[in-house]
Order: sequence, then structure tokens, then C-alpha cells
Amino acid sequence: MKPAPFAYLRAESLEHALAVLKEHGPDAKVLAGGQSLIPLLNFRLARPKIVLDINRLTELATMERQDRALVLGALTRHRTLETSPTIRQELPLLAEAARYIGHTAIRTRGTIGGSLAHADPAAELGMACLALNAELELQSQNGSRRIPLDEFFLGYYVTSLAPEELLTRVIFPPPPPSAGWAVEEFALRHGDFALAAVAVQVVVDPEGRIGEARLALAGVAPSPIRARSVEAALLGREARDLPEIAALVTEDIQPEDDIHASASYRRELARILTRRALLQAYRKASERRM
Amino acid sequence: MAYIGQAIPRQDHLRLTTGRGRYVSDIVLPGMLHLAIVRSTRAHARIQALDLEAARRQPGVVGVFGPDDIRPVMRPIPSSPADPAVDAFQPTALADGVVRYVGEPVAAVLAENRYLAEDAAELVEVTYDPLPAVVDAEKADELGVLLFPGHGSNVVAKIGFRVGRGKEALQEADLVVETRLRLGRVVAHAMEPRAVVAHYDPETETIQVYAATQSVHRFRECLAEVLDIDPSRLRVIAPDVGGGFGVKNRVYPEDVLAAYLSLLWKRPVKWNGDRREEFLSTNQERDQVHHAAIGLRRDGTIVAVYDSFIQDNGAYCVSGLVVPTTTGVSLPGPYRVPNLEVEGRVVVTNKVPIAPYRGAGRPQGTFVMERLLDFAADALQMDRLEIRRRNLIRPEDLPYRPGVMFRGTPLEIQEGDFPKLMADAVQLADLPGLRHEQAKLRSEGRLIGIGVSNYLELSAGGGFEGARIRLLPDGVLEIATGAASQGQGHSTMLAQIAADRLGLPLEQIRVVEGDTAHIARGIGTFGSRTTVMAGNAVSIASRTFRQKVLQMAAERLEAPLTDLVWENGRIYVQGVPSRPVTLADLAADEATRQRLTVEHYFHSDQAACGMGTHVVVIELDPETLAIQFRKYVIVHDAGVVVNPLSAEGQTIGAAVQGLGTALYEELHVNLDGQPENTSFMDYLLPGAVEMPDFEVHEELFPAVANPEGFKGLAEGGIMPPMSAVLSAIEDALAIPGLRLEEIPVTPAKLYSWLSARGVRS
Repeated sequence: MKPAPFAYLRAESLEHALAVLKEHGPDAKVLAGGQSLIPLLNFRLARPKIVLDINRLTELATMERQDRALVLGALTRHRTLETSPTIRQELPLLAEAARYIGHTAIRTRGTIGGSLAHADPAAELGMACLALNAELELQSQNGSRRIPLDEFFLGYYVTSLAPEELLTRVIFPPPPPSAGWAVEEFALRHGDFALAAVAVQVVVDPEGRIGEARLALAGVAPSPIRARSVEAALLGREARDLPEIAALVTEDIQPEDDIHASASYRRELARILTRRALLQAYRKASERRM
Repeated sequence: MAYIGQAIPRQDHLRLTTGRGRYVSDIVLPGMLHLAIVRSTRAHARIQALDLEAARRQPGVVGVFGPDDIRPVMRPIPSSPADPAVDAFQPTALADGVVRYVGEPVAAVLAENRYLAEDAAELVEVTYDPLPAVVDAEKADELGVLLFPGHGSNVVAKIGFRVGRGKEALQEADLVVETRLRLGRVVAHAMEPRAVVAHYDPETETIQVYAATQSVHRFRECLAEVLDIDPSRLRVIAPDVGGGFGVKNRVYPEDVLAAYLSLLWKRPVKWNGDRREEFLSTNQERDQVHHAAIGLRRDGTIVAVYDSFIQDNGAYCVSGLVVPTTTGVSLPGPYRVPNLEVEGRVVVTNKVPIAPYRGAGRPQGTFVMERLLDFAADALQMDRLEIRRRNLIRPEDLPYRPGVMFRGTPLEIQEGDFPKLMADAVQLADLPGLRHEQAKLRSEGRLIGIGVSNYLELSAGGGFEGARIRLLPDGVLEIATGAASQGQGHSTMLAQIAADRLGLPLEQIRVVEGDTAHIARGIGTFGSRTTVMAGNAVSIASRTFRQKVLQMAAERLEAPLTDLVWENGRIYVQGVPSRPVTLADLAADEATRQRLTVEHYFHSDQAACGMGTHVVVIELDPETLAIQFRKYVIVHDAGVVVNPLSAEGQTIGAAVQGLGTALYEELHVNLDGQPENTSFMDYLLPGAVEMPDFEVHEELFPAVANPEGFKGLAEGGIMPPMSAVLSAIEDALAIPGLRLEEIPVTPAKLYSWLSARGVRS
């Protein structure tokens, strides 16, 4: 349980970090909260030549407003997502999802940028950020680009982040004023990776019909994933339709067998959790409208 | 004055919980070298070639060793306990030509620090000639591959016994119920992984070994045998040890390597196992398949029980046949079973060796018996509680001889009131109220289940344990024992006994454990024996010590013994308290201190028997099949309880581990013999959040089997949770004919079983 040799570099500024990535990109691993990287190093599953520690970059630990969007620096800790009054007020779905991540010690270290860049298929934050329609700011020495999170996850632990790029900010558009939301997760133990998890945000019109819906899942596909069949089917539908529509989620996911659960059990869980989350979000949306 | 029975917080708790413990990993000696082990990546293979040269050239590497480099100590590490029946199936410090499980030590790297050692270990090139892996113990010989070709079968031993007419008596039953039960393979997982530091002192020509062990004396004897040196040349010290649970009760290959290399290199050598190595190389347990049958009369009376089981024993028999034997002995439990037959086959497979883990067969036997009773009750359409009532040993049956041998002695149950204990548990859990609530919630679509299981804990029995009392110059009494603690709080418990039997304040007693230099002989801590064995030894030694002190005081005071008064260690002639002889007075004189030293070894073959009942209430999510605890009540006969806090802690800790085995824990080994979940991410130890709030009630039937009436209670708690929980799940599901016959039960497994029955889509 000792890592293979590596060089440790501490980024003194964002420019410094980007310069290191420019020079060593494929050979470097960025150390943010370290909650995934350090175990991978100790198991010698990750063998970077350079570990680039960005924890001193205070410019990435910020919470700002751009127009009406809330912009979180990549170093925002899970514990902040969980406890910040601003986030609990404006992005309660995100705060709720963060509660499911590991344990307090893990949440105190882990960062939103680290979680998204690591792209674990069962990561709650990837799922929550998809449901919240988040965008990412990726920076390199060549400049900065913004992409929707939808275009970020490419597969098992693979993202569209280039080796010389650093994920610097996560941009959350304000949820629709009367949006209802819910997070449902099933894990075998408190704090475990989800066997299945669902995050949903819906808007319900005065007639009780769903006007807008975003639903994302974790643990049931190679990466956190949106359930587009469900989203499409929800438009214009009402509470009584939700159980039937929830069943469509099995078309959107590709769970696999592992030692903890069969694919069919995960599909069943996804269906149950989707229904529960939809009913809860629908109820909240209806209440907020009143 | 009575310290026995008082809930005194353990004396070491603050030190241990605030990071001031001193474990083997905390021991740093000048010039210390670090060992890393190259472990087999194959479950079964011949080693064609072992190339150590690249590793030897690494910076900071002192030496790299294959079996040919350590020939003088490449003899089998003896089984603990010794058992000639399995002498042929013992490991060596490094695999010698053949590897038999993933994780088996193949080579050792000695370097200036562990990082460098591990870097070099990666460069050791092992060329394997793969052999098919034997992973299914039920098909032991079907592959035609033998782990020990000299033996001719992978079935290396059989255990068995018969009481009454055994299985023949099944024919006389009105009804016979059969079942196939499977228990998964589990890993004990002490908080502290195994560790050893060995330090050769050329001046005294002794090796001082710091080991995370449950038994310093047996460790010394076994290690001396492998090193082929006199035991007097070894001093073994167990400093603070962070949990043992049975798996730290023997000498492992790493211990031999560290000791031998310290001798070769004349420098201290440390090996500190990490968590991954715990998974890959520390002994594991359970892993049995039972084919069991129970025969009954129509009124539910047991006629006969027959159990034929297979012990998947892993690659070696490092702990004799303790686990399968104890499984069989534990089977009848607290019930009257007039005819009993047990046959166990011990099969070697390409997995980590099996050795006792808390319970050492007791949980298995209990699981089989309790499941049989549940299924029998269902078949008779009888209440599951009622069938137990009808078969429990009654007070009028005592003393009761079940006809089984425990540690070589016929078991005799001498005290207790089993029907009362079960009735008390059911009453404390408020069973009628629970049934009412269950029906009410069921009408709302919620599934509540109640399970009840009994057990009979057999503790101690066999061998001896010692106590050595000496007076220190400051007037404090030091008590040494060979039965060291791994976090149980023995020192407080033993001090309580000594204080009472000496008539001294607790503060005047200091217990030292875990050092072969402190006491000549010892057996160690396992099998719930320390309170019974070391406790009685301390008690007797304390009385002797007190008597000696009184005699000396009588000489000094020139008064007959009968005129003396003992008051907290002050001895004076009746009526003359102003002229006492104190322990401090006696301690001032070296010769007197020498004369006062008392060493007593308590021998006993009689096991202490404590019965108990667990009542568990769970709620099952009808959709996800998630299982949540609502209530957990334990009532058990604890004999004379020395320290209720420790007793309750032991009971809850054991129950937690039992629930882990029931619902969470299983080491998965695939068809190639590769373990698949060797980290805490995938091997699911339950945490506090998953566990119920336990209600523990003690009932005190002093053990007739030993002078102080103590009973061991470290393993009782782990015996019934598995069957109780499965019974509760069946009760919640209320599907006629549904039997849960394997552990662990997980929501995903429940889903697939229910799907197969067409209950779930």
C-alpha cells in the first residue's frame, strides 16, 4: 500500500498549474481532494510521474455569481455543497446529493472538480450536475472553454478533458423558479457507492402537467447519465402517469452485473427510485407553485 | 468491598482512544529494516523460475530472498494447536515450488524503508506454470487436481461423532426435514493488521520479537521450532494489539521471515501488514456447506439430528481441525437432541487458509440447528418459538450431558434456566406488541419481520492459564498473565478480581500482559477463555499472596494469624490499628519481595456453558428489499460478571460481527481462485449506522465448572444473529415455503431468489 515513485509539484498559481499540465499533461495527475487518487496511487493502479497539487489555488475555491448563474470553483469541497446556506437555498438538489457521498471525512476533503474529472459511474455529483444542467469551464494555456456537462462524460472514467486542461469552474444556471426536485439513492451501506441513484428536477404547470424535466442517474451506466426517454415522456404528463413513465428508465441505462448486484436488480432499483424521485419532485413542484 | 460486578471503565480506554496506544507499527528501532512480501498472483501454480536479480539491484535494498535463500527455516510452520492428523498440510515461510493461494508469500524484500522494499518487490519476476485452481470444495476431487499430490485427495481430514443411534434414529421420526445450508467466506478484520518486529541482540544471543499476537508463549514455542532454536532465546512481546478475533493466534510466514532475517542481518526487521495483505494472507473463516436433517415427533419433539458438512479449509490446515470440530460440537446447542450424528469433510482449496475467527465453529453449528428448527416448525405448522420451548433443556434435566466431547472432555451442562431465558427475551422484546404492530403495518403495505434464535456458548475448557503476582518497591502489586488482551480490557477485569480477592484498592494493582519475560508459561487469549482461566488463576494467586503477606505480618507483629486484621493492605493486631505492617513496609525489603512472589497456574477441562436468546425485528422494503433493523434484544446467561461494561461491549461487538456475516460480508473468490473484493470498498463491513441499537440483558447463573463461577462471553453474541435475521426476513416476506438457506443475504440476492420463484418480475 505504498505508491510507486512520483514527483510532487505544488501549483503556486493557476498559470503555474496550466504550465505544468502543458508540459507534462499525460504524465501528470491533478491532486485535489485526493479521495480517489490517493487510493489509486497506493494500490499502484495509478502511476503518474507527477502529482500536481492544486489545493493552494484559492482562486478555485470560490463561489461567485455570473449573471444569474452560481459558479463554483473546482476546489469547492463536498462538505461546502452540503452545508453552504447559498447552495442549500439555490441548489438544494446539489446539497442533497452531496450528503450521499461517502462519510464526513471524505466530504471534507473531496472536491466537485475532482469528482467530475474522475468520472466515477456511481458519482452522485456527476448525476446531480447533469440534472441541474451544469456547464464546465476548462482551462489550458491556450485559453478557456465552456462545455455542457452532457458533453463531458465519455465512458468509464473517461471525459473530454484534454491532458493539458484543468477543470476550473462548474456553472449552475438558476433552476426554474417553481422547479421541484428529488434525489433518491440505494447503497448497500451508508456512504457506499450507489447501486443506483436518481436526481430529478421538474416544472409543473398550473394544470398539473409537467412542463420541463431533467432526470439523471448514477451507478447504472458507464458514467452518470441522463434518462432522455423518461424526460421526453414526462412532458405534458401528470402525477398519475409517473409510475408508468418511470418504468421507461430501463431504456436509458446500461447496468452491469458485479459482485454486489445483478444488472436486473439494478434495473429494478432504477425503476423504483425513478418513480419515487418523480413523485417527490412533482409534489414539491406542485407545492411551490401554490 | 466488591469490584467484581462493577461497571468500571477500562483503565486503558483513554490512552487507546486518544492515539496513545503503542502498537507494533509504532515500534521504531535504530537501524531497522523493512520487509515487503512478493505474493503469489496465482491461486495454484508451479513456480518455474524466480528471478530476484533486478530487485536486488534496487537502491536501498539490503537483500531479496527466495526459498533457497532461507533453507534453514523452510520447515513447515506447525499447526496451532498441534494436530498430527494435518501435519502434511502446513505452509512454509515462502512457497516452495508450488503456490496454493493468491497472496501466498513467494519472495521477501528487505530494504531501508517500506517504499523502497515495495518498489523492489515489483521487480521480482516469478514465472508460473499454472495449475487448475480448486475453488469448489463440494467438487473437491472432480478436477483431478490435488493440492497435496502425496495425499491422493483434496479431502484431507474427516471429523465426526455419533450420539445415541445417530442418523439411524431419523427413521423413527414422524417427520424428517432436510436442508442445504451455505455460509460464506468471511475475513475477521481486526482494526490493526498483522505486524511483527524482530530484533536480534548479539550480546545475549536472543531475538526479541514484538508481535501483534493473541498468545506470546505459544508464538514463542512455535517460532522457536521453525527457527530450530531454544525457546529461551526468544522473548515475545505483544504490545497493544488492535483486535485479534482468533486470526492473530498463530505464527505466520512473515513472522518467520522477520525473525530469521533479523538473525541473519543483525538488524531489527519490521513487517507491517497492510489492509490488502489482511485480505490476501490473514486466515479466514466460515465457508461451509451443510446437508442437515432433523427428525421430529408430531408434537415437535426432536428425535434425531444429522449433519453432513464440508469445510472449505483453504490451502493449509494451520489450526488443526478446530473449526470443523467445534462446528459439530456446537450443533445441539441448548436443546435435547437424543440422537445426533455429525460428519464433516475438510477440503483443501486454493484459497487463504481457514482458522478460527470469533466463534470458531460455534456460529456455524448454531446456524444449522436454529435453521433446522425453523424449517421443522414450518413443516409442522407450529410456531417457531413453540418448537424451541418443547426442546430446550429444562432445569430438571440438569446436569445434562449432550454426549459430545468439547476439547477432549465430555460436555456437561450444569446450571441455567434456558426456558426462562428465552421467555424473558421474548417478554422484554414485547412479542405480543410486536405481532400487533406487524399486522397493523402489514395492512399499510409495510413488511415487518421477527426472528428468534437461541444458542449455548461453550467457553474455556481445556489447558491452563497463569498469574504471577509480585510486589513492586512502591508497594504496588504487579500481576502478570500469559493471556494478553487485544483490546478487551482484560487488565481492568483482572485487576477487579485481584482487588476483591486481595482486599486492596483497585489503584494498587497493575496488570501486565503480553510478555514472555513476565511469566514463564501461558496459553493465550482465544475461545472466550481469559476471564475463566486467567481470572481464576488471578483469584487463586491473590488469595495465596494475601495469605503469605499475613504470615509475614504475623512474624513481624509477633501475633497469631487469627488475631490479625487486613484493612486495605494494612495489617495490624486486632485493636492496635496504630501499629500496622503495610505492603509498602514489606516492599521496602528486596528479600521480602522475592519471598512474596506468587505464581499460580489454573487448570481446568470443564467448559463454562452460557445460554442466550436473540430477538430481532427488521423492516423489509417491499420494493427494494432493503433490510433495516427496528429492534434487537439479547438476553444471556453471563455467569458471574466481572465488569458489566466489558461484558456488554463483548456481546454487542460479537453480535455486530454476526450481523455482518448474516447480511453484508463475503469474500468472493472467482473460478480461477482470484479474490474479487480485497478492499473495504467492496468487502462490506457494516458500520454503526447499519446496526441496530442493542438491548442487552444479563442473567447470572454462576458457572459450577470453575471456582469463581465465571463464563466466557466473547463468542455468544456472534452465534445466533445469522439464523435470527434470516428467520425475521422470512417472517416479513411471509411467502409460504420460502426458506433462506445461505448467508449473507443481501437485497440483490433476495431479489434474484424471489424472481426465480416468480414472486418478482
